[in-house]
Amino acid sequence: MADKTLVYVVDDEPLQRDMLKDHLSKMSKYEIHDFPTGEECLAAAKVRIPQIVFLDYNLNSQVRDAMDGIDVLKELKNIYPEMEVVMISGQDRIEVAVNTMKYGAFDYIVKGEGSFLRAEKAMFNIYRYHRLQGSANRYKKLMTFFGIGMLLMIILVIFLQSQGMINAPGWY
Amino acid sequence: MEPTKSITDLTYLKSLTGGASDKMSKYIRMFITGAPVSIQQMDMYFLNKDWAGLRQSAHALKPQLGYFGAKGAENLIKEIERMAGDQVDLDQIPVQLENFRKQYELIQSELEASLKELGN
Repeated sequence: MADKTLVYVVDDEPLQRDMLKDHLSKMSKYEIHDFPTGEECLAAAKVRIPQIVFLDYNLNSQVRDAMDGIDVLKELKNIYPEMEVVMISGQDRIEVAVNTMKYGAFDYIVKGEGSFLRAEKAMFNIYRYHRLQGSANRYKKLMTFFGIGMLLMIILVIFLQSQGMINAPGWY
Repeated sequence: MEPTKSITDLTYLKSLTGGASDKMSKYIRMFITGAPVSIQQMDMYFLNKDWAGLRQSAHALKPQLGYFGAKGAENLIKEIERMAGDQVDLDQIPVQLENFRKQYELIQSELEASLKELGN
C-alpha cells in the first residue's frame, strides 16, 4: 500500500465521483479516496497528503455555501506546491481552463464521454513530467559538481605554478 | 408498425465498464436516484428566481445525461443552463423544465427496463 500513489477525487455529484474513482481504480498502482466537498479533501490532506487531486470546478450544486473548486485549488497549491491538481468541469470555456491553469492546475478536463480517458492520460502525463523533472534535476546537479571540480582544478594549477612546482605551458 | 425509438443509449456505459453488469446497474441506480432530486432542486430554484442555483443544477446534471446517451434531454438541459446562466428567455424556462421532466420520465422507464435486463 505504501508505494501506491495517493489520489483524491473531489466531486459533489456522487455518480460522477464514483465513475471516475472506479475508472482510476482499475489501475492497481493508485490508492484512491473520494470526497464530496473541498473542505473534506483539505481536512484529509492534512492527515495524508495526496500526490494527485482530481478536483471539480463547481463544488456547490448540493451544498450552496461549499467552497468552490478554484478556492480549493488555491489553498491546496498554497499549502502543498508539489501536489498536482487536475481540474474537472462541465464547462468547456477556454477562460475557465486558463483561470485554473493560472492558479497552478496541471490539467483541465471537460466532463463528458471522453473525460475518464483524459483523466487516465493526465495521470500518465503527471508521471512523465515528474520523471523528466527528476532527470533534469540530476543533470543540473551533475553539471554543478563538474563545474566545481573544474574550478578547483584551475585553482590548484595556478597555485602550483605560483609555487614553481609545475612549469607554465608554452602558450601561457 | 415501427418500434419506438429509444431515447437512451448504453453503448458508452458498456464500453466504459467493459460490460460489467454490476457497475452498469450501480451507475443506473445512482442516476435514477439522483436525477429526481436535481429536478426538484431546479423547480425550487426557478420558483425562487435563483438563476445561479438553477444554472448550477442544470450544469451538474448535463454530463450525466450524456453517459446514458440521452442526447435529447442533454440538449434540453443545456438550454435551461444557458437561459438561467445568461438570464434570457426566462419565460421559456417553465416550458423547458416541463419538457425535460417528460423526457426524464421516459429515460427513467427505459433505464429501469435496462436494469431488469442486466439482472442486478
